[in-house]
Amino acid sequence: MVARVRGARRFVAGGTDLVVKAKDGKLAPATWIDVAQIRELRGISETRGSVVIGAATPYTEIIESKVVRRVLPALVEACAEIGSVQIRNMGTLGGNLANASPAADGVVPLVAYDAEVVIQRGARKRVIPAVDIATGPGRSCLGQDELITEIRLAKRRRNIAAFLKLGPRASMAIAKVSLALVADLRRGRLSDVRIALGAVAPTVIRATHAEAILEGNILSHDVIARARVAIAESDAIPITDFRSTAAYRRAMCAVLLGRALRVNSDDVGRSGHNPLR
Amino acid sequence: MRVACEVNGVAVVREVAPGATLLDFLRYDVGLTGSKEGCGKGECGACTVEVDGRLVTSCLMLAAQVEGRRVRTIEGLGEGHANLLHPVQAAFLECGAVQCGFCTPGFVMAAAAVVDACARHGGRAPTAREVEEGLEGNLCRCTGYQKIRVAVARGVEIAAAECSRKGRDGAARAGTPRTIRKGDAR
Ligand SMILES: Cc1cc2nc3c(=O)[nH]c(=O)nc-3n(C[C@H](O)[C@H](O)[C@H](O)COP(=O)(O)OP(=O)(O)OC[C@H]3O[C@@H](n4cnc5c(N)ncnc54)[C@H](O)[C@@H]3O)c2cc1C
Ligand code: FES
Ligand code: FES
Repeated sequence: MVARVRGARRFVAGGTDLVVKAKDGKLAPATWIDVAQIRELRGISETRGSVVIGAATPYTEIIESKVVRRVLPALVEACAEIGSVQIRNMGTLGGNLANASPAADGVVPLVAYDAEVVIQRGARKRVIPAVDIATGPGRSCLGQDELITEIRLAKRRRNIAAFLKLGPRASMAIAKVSLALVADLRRGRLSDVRIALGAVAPTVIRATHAEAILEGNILSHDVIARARVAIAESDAIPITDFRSTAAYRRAMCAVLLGRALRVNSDDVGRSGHNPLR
Repeated sequence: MRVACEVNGVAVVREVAPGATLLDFLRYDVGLTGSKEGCGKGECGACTVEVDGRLVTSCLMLAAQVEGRRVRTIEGLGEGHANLLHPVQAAFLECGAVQCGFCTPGFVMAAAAVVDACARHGGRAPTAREVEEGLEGNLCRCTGYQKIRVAVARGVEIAAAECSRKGRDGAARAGTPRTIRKGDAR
């Protein structure tokens, strides 16, 4: 069907990024192809080892999903922080990924959960890690006519999950810094640690230096202190813009990491508690 | 292009420009000017309507995207309620939760969604957090929000009273049904 559309074309799902850009005159004319109601792109399913989220599933359905709430609490936390009721009823993870904003709230937990993104063009399929979809601010690896169809997330036994976002106010705000952390904490020792950061680099990134310090170690004050330094000084590569300064963003990476670890170590296994809200 | 959908229970078919938003479609093609354009960018909520039972900002949805779907606007919200006023509308009137009124249709739509959700859960009162989250997509530059909050709480009471009345009298007493002419989406 897509190939039948002549000339420039682009996909639209919730329109919450695209229509705003179009109204700002930032888009070249093109035929828009609505994917929001395509059944294969919607809904959430569960296999023994994974959860599969259709790329055009609105945030509200993700937040309401029992399986996502059980298995991927940091994703629920992040989706719940996006925009407003209205925006969450329209916006999708497919759009959040393809839009490639460094501050994309939905992408941050996807990166922390090692999500894989299924991309299709005609009969050709490829699977790309969520962290590799964006290649720069507003730039993605998607080629002409490539459609994100679904997002696959492995079910792993991990008892720590947090998403924390700092913005100018509680609702409807683009993040100055956001962080997702998932890990497994057993007898004081951390494993399977994944940390993702939003708004502190040209794309959403993994905080690999901080991860390496935490992985396999006892969650002590010293380890936390070293991880905080690493995330602020080695992982974050922020800029100063009209939303915030580079120095503030670095400092807040450390603060959010500390909070994510403390929230969860005091209260292991129970996510959903967000001290910033 | 041709768009066929249901607006406030009435089938509507209109010819629209491909880039037209749902808001423009409702205001200029269907003639329902209750939904307002504040920011045009999803920030203020003045254009809030329901599509298939979910609130959306109609300034960011394309008219073409409601093909075959059910749209409900502020004009259709009171249908089936006493005096054709949804409990939230009655409460906004009673509490004076309106100043210039530009944000009101959007606030009423969002507040009605909160109240209706509570009514579906046995008429319990929403928590302050639920009200705040339900209204987070709506801005008002006049009222300072206080009277809007009061009105939402009052709307919950009116809805609960309506619910028990309906339970007693059967659904028949729920407002005078209006005659709807074909093509009249109001
Ligand atoms: C008021 C407001 C508040 C917002 N708040 C937040 C926030 O707090 N956090 C946040 O992260 N974002 C926020 N956003 C941005 C936006 O809502 C999200 O990025 C959302 O996820 C975009 O999804 P969409 O379906 O609306 O995308 P669309 O606008 O439909 O599309 C965005 C881009 O993705 C492409 N695309 C869409 N679906 C696919 C697909 N399946 N395959 C390939 N390409 C696709 C489109 O071609 C387009 O380039 C906000 C936006 C508004 C208007
Ligand atoms: S006019 Fe649609 S949100 Fe402001
Ligand atoms: S009453 Fe004027 S904007 Fe709300």
